[in-house]
Amino acid sequence: MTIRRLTAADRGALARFTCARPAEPWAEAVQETIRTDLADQLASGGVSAAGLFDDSGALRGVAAWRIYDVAPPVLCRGDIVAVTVRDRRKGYGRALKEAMIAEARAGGAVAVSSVVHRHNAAMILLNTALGAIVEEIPHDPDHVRCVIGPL
Amino acid sequence: MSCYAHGTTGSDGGSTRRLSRPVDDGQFDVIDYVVGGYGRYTGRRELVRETHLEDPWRDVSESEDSFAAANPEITHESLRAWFSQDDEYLAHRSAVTALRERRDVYGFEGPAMPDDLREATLRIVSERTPS
Repeated sequence: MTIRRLTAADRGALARFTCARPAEPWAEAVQETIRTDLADQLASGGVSAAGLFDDSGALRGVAAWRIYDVAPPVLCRGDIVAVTVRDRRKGYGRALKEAMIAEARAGGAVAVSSVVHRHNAAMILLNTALGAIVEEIPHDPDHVRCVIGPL
Repeated sequence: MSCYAHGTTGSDGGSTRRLSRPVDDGQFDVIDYVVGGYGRYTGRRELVRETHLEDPWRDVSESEDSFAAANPEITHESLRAWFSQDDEYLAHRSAVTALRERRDVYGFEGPAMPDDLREATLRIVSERTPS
């Protein structure tokens, strides 16, 4: 397995990426975001992303983030961490999140903040394991915020 | 794979056989769906009873054609029609659509750090920074 930065040239692999499961609508919403939005965002430069590839070159996981440097201090929004259905519980999500944190730290960010579906227990657990504070979001009953920092 | 009123066969026409080639992510997703929806049933009784209540089987087994053919085929179209109107599937699609309307969470729209997220982040970082 290798992790490398994704570009718009990875559009084909992103369009086929599958992380959805029947009982997890949030995973399918993320899958649609990866398939339909991410390549264009990478092309426009608004989003950074990394992919986890297996030895055959197949895309097995995706992380996407945005560095916020409009006003100090620099912060990072973690938008996506997703792995294919068959690759769950192998530590790939953690590897991708750690890669995101490393990129954020290299970019001068003091924290990585994510908005996570409240039923996405695996992602909340991963954030907690990496030291995140998890909070309710006022007026948003579907999601929680996870903040990892200071980095 | 082909489906018939009295069972399924692989593409080579055989009956039960071990899958010996890797499946792609889409195929894996279908298997995951089937196991999630039907894996709890025992094969001989519960699974037969459950699937025989569903339209694809009933349509071929109760049609006039079923008397002409010993084992009429259940078409892919009837299976597609049945599962596309499945209540759980429709509820799932509705939930996905509602989430995707949150383009700030599922679409990269709006600022990377909306005011409330930025303020919460700065508060948490401040509280956890040693003085």
